[in-house]
Amino acid sequence: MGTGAQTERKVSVLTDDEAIVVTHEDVDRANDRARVERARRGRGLRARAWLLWLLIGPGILVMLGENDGPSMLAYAATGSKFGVGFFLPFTILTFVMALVVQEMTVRLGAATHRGHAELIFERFGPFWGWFSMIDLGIGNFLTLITEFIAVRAGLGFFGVPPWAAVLVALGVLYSALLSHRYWTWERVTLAAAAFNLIFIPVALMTHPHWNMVAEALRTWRPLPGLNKDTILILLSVIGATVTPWMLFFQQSATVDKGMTTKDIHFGRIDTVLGAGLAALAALGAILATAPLFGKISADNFEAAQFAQALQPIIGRFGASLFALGMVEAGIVASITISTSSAYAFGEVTRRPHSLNLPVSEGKSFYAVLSLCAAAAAGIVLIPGLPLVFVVLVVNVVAVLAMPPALVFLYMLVNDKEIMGDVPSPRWANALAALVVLLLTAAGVLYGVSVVAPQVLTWLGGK
Amino acid sequence: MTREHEHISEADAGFVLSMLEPDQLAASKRVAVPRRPIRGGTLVLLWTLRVYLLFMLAVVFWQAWTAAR
Repeated sequence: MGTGAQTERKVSVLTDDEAIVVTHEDVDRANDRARVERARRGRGLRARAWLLWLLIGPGILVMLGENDGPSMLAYAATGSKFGVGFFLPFTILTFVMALVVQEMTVRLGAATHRGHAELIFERFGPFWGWFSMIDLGIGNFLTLITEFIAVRAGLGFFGVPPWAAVLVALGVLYSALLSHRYWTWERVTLAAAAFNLIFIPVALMTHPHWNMVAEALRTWRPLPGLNKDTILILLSVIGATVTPWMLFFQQSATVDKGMTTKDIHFGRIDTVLGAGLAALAALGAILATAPLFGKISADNFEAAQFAQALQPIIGRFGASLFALGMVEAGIVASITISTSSAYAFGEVTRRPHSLNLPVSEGKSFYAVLSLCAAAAAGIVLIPGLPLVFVVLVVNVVAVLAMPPALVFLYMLVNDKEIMGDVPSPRWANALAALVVLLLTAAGVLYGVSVVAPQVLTWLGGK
Repeated sequence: MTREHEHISEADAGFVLSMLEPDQLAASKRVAVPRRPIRGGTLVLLWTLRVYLLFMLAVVFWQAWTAAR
């Protein structure tokens, strides 16, 4: 039934003594669901593949979206500072951690049809709700700034002035919204996110020593020295994969897509696919910059500097691909993170919040989305701001904010009153608890490295 | 069935109701999920993590301030 284009207003349907209001957003979502239900009735591999194609999206987007500007810079810094070693398997471990917690958001969204911010506010009250919102708001805005820094630095490699680079990023972001249709927005953003894999051919151009790679993956060695710089990189790598905005985004996107409990299995496949692709891109960035090990200082790294440093090794074409990868990482993440902020704002203020909304019905949703991005883009253009420091700090802040966010997720996904018969399985709960412990321990280690670095020396570092 | 606007037909509305679960409708979001009080160990855990976060953020900004100097 393809009547979405004509359905721009609301209608009240009276069933018995209750009035049900149907909106444009509902009609679009129902059309999407009808397509899924038709695909579900099909038999054979082709029908299953088509169903998977219809249901993938939020998982891949959230994982490739989190391979954002500061994340790719963190991976590049890791490669150039430590070469091939401990951080290769460690990066894979961080994606496993992300997979565990993101699967919970799919389950929660599909079972409750509510966004994460909405559930925290309504279930636990505004006191804890506002704490979560402040964490999310500060984290999202700082991260958005870093996305535009990445775009500016990446396009700067080609001589594009900062104002033009920022306009390009905003142009892509606003273009993705033009359809006012979740499905179209999702597919456009997925197509853009696919370019994140550009780091894989760049890595291959550096001719990695595959024996060393295999050895590092097997033994987690060579180990880096335990010192302040290593701890900062460690937290940056964790924060490059596991952050609060991902929880809010994937749950809201799952709801906006219209997924139900029947789709949880495909939502899980979507998340696994996303984690796998994003891990490959992350490993690509580490391997691509590994030849710079011992050749440049990665303490004040910027995307353009990495691309320039790589040019003698992989040529102008390879360095250009690396710079373009940074641009893509920044643009896709600016789309997903600003959308996450807009979803959360709408959920908390009980205003309409869906990418299926026409502008006339979703003014506040589109306004928050657009203004967040525009403000972050504007800040990047202010001369003299310590932008490199923001890039370094943003992943650390994300890691620190994760344990409280994960406790709320854990409580919600095990809440039988709202989850019905699909609460999180015990093995997932155990893994999520382990993730909380690991993230808290990493945060404490970072605190020790700053406040009492001599303790690291005592622990066996330098 | 009463229509407030002309752009969504009754057939469309019926189609929507047949395809979506009741709590998937945008209008259903007006009804809040019931509150669940937080007590005991959970409350202690949440406050501990809140204090942890505030302390660690102070550490981050202290590091920023010393680096800037």
